[in-house]
Amino acid sequence: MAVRVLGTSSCFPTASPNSHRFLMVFASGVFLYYFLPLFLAVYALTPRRWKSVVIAVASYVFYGWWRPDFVFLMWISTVVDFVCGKQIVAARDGVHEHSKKGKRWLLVSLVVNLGLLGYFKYFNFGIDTLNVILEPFGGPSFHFAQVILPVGISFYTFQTLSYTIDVYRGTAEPVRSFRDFMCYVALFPQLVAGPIVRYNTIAEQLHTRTHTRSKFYRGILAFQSGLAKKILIADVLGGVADAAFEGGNLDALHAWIGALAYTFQIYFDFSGYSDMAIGLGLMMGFRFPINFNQPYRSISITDFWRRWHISLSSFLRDYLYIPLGGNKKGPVRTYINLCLTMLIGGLWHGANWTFLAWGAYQGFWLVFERLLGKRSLYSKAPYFVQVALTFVLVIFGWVFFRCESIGEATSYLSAMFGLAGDTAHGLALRPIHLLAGLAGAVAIWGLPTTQELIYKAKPTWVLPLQIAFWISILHLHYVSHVPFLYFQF
Amino acid sequence: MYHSSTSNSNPIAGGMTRDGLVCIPEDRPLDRSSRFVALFVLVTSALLIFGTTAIDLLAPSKMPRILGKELEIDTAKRANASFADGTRARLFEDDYRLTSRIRNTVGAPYARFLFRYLRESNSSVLLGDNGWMFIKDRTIVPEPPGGGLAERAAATEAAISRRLYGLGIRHVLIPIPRKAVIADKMLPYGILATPEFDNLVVPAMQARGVETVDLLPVYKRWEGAPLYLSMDSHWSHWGILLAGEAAIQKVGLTVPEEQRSTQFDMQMLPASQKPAGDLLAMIGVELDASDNLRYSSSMPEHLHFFPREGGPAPVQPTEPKSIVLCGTSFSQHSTLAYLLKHLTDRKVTNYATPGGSSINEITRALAASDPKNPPSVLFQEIPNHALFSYALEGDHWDVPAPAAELFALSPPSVSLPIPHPNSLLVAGGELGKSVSVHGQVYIGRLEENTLAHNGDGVLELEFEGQVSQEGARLVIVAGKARTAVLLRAGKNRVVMPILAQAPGADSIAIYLESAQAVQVRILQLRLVSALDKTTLQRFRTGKLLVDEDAGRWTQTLDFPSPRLLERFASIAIETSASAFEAKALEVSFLAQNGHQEFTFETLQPGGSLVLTPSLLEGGLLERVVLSGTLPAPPKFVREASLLNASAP
Repeated sequence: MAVRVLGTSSCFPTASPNSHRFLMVFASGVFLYYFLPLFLAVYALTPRRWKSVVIAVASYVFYGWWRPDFVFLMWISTVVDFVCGKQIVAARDGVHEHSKKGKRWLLVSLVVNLGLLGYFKYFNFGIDTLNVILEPFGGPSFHFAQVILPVGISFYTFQTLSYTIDVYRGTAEPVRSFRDFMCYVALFPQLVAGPIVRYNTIAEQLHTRTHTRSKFYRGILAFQSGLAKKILIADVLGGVADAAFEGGNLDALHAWIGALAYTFQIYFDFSGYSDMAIGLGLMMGFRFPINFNQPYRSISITDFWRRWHISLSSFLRDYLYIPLGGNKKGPVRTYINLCLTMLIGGLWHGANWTFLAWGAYQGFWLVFERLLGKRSLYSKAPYFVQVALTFVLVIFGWVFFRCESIGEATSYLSAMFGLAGDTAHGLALRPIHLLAGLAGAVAIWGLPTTQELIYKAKPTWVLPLQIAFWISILHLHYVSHVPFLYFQF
Repeated sequence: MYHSSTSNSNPIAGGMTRDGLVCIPEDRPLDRSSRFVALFVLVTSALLIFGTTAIDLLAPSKMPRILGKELEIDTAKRANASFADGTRARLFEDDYRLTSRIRNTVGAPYARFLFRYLRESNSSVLLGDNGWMFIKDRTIVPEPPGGGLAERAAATEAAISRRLYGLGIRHVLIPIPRKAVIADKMLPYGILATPEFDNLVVPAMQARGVETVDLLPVYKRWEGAPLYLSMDSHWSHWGILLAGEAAIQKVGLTVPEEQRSTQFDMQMLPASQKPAGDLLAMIGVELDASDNLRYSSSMPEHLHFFPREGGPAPVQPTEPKSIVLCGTSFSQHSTLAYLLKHLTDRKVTNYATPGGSSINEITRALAASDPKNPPSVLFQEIPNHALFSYALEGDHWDVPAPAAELFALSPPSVSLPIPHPNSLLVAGGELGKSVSVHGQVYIGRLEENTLAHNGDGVLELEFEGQVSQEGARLVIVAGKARTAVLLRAGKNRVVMPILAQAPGADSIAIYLESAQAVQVRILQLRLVSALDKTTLQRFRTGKLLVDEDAGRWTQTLDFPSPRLLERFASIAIETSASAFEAKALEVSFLAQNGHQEFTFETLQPGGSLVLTPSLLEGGLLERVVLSGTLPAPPKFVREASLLNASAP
């Protein structure tokens, strides 16, 4: 039996553009030993009123490390939304909160932000799709230079949109100073991969946050936890996932191992980044939203979406699902709204049919469970069975998410059911993969969440975390840095 | 009503507030033990981060020394690095990793731990059984078998061989089979040796007339000690011994043992010596002597030479250089040169340097040699993995810069113009006219299917020109092959082989390019062959026969008596301008020692062929048969000449 070559932990997690390699990532020497100490020192020495400026400047350096020209793009978004916010407030006539003029400024913000997002994220996909549609009819084939996706555009665009929408709705005060707004948009801890910090959750913190030893200490703990998740589990299992998904027929056992490895990788990679972002935020006095709450302990897909990427799901709920009518317009409309929200949520992750399929898959289960009264088909089963079955459903979803085409995803799913044929082969697994897998399983089903850990800060939790952190630092010295999965979205 | 986000409301569960924010119990002080732990965490974390920064900034490690091709790549990377596209940032991060004192200090014991207990290495090294290591990039061939990698390398080596032959030097290539192919049983589970590539190298070289030492069967037959070092990327002394003996046997210079001035034996290294190797260094692992028991393969033997008692006097350094060894790190620190000297009792000059494809070393050897008394044999050692540099980049491949430099520095003394139907200069081009070059200027072109050749240097482009200042390059794009050579200020005569993956009749485009404005006066631009006119032989053209059933026409070239095909013997055929376009053209060389065929899809009316049947070297050529699909042209061959062939 032939076996696929496995890379070591320093493999690139998905087929992403090489440009992501030039990102400054938290799990890299240049961030940990140059950027972070310099930033913390300058931040600590800066007077209170200038701290936002320090954050904004540091964030531009952090973001521009990859492509300085894309900082201009962020500035466009910043200036447009700042002006729109001011104009929306100025347009209020005291009687009507939502004046026509205010609506026009909101429209400007929507057009600019969604226009930038649409162009940079979906232009290539749109042209490719158009060419595929026109080809059978002998239509012209359009060829343009490939548009490079600026890292984090999906995140900061949603954030700035949340500002103008909240100001328009009157659920948030307009920002008091431009420097606070620059700081909000560019805030480097969560700039490129979230959590999505909505303006109304952070508005007051921008000018009245406190800096305490307790916050700083807990920030360190959160950062350490995230780093350990990323380096010791996500990156190690990423090698297995890459080998499994990058072509070729796998036998059923190894196809499952590959899918499981990716399931672990995406959770520990993304939640690791969120933990680090939350930790860095705390070091600067900010309290960010929690993004994950033990999602792989969910008992249904509905439950999963309350625990996975919470900042995105709540954003989609408040800014898309509810404005579409939510569940207030009858059951059929509710199901349509749910599906539409999940489809758009899928497409938000990337311009590919696989993300759309993933969104449709999630939407299907949400509708199905709503039909059953927001319960799963197996809700009568013992708790651990419900968790296990939901976990399996989630794994199937990740196959679509990870593959680069629908055909590839269906082939992979066939392999999981032993339909890969006679040429099926295995994966060359090493002891470190087993160790990382075991550590991941224990962390998912046996350990408290990072937010619990930092809230309670029990010595019996903190000391083992220190060991994991030191091993992570050692391992980081050993391997090259690997970008985070969510940088591509 | 606005949300208050600074209020620290009670956590609903799991450290999260009602508004979904992370919860910090500001109002609840830590107990005593937690305070102690917090202090410990703050101090150790601060020490770790700020300490690493301080030490790495104040006492960085030295940048590792890089050589050969890696140095060329690194220099180019530094020259082109820019903050605008992120490459400068990447370089900064790479440099940090390489010079971090902390990383280099703590990395070694950690790497040793991973290596010993978890069988882990870094991403570039694969760990096999019993401590065997393999460089990943050398184990996985960059192109599928049959992709033309070996053929592209063979075309370049053949052109080098032709150039050295013209200088009176016998060029003998020693391709070293890859470690993964020879020590395939030690590869980690699931890693395939892919020997197909190595199996193709020697046949490809021989088909292009490169004299080659075939080590693969010699190594495969060997059942003794390992031929490669387990923790190093290089061959063992047993590998060297077999290679040296095969090479000297190939050139027929073996001196009987009793007449040699030296003797050798194979000695074991002392058990107290630590296991060592460049691959161990590559993964940052240092082992100690006790590991010799753990990894038995880490104890290689080495060749030890000593003077023969009562033998002839040792070779004096003043003797003429008769053998030259050009190679890579496989030869630089090895005893191959000593072994060659021992086996031949001749002075052997070793020009090997690490990295690259050992072509720069040939240029150095030629520069150092006396043109009136050149070395009789030039051995070029090249590990097969070095041929990976011939992999396609997109839709083209670059002829290695050292090869282009070698061709430019050693032009052939003979150049026989090869006819073709169209003018080589572009429309409006004129010899003697000055061309202003800033960017890329297109100066010449030969249409596709007008001149068929081997693509191994039998056809060359001769350029003569006056260049106002340094910086201009002559670029030849022949099909997928791109050759670029730097022109000197002043008068230049450059003769560059036209290379191709396979025999064919690709179009040829010729450019001049320069980043700054340069004036170039083109004095000569023509296609030539560096074969000696004096050996040119005319012969009789047979009638054109038509076989309607087979749907083909045939024409035979006969000559009164068989001709001996000497090294690089070739045929040059000019076809009639009134002929039809020849389709599915086949050219068959029939000799007493076999036959060799070339096929071409199309040849335009008036097109030419210049072909070398290398596989028939040393044989007596009887006839050449040309055939194509119907309709038959009224006349096909207009003129034909046999070059480098003589009466037996």
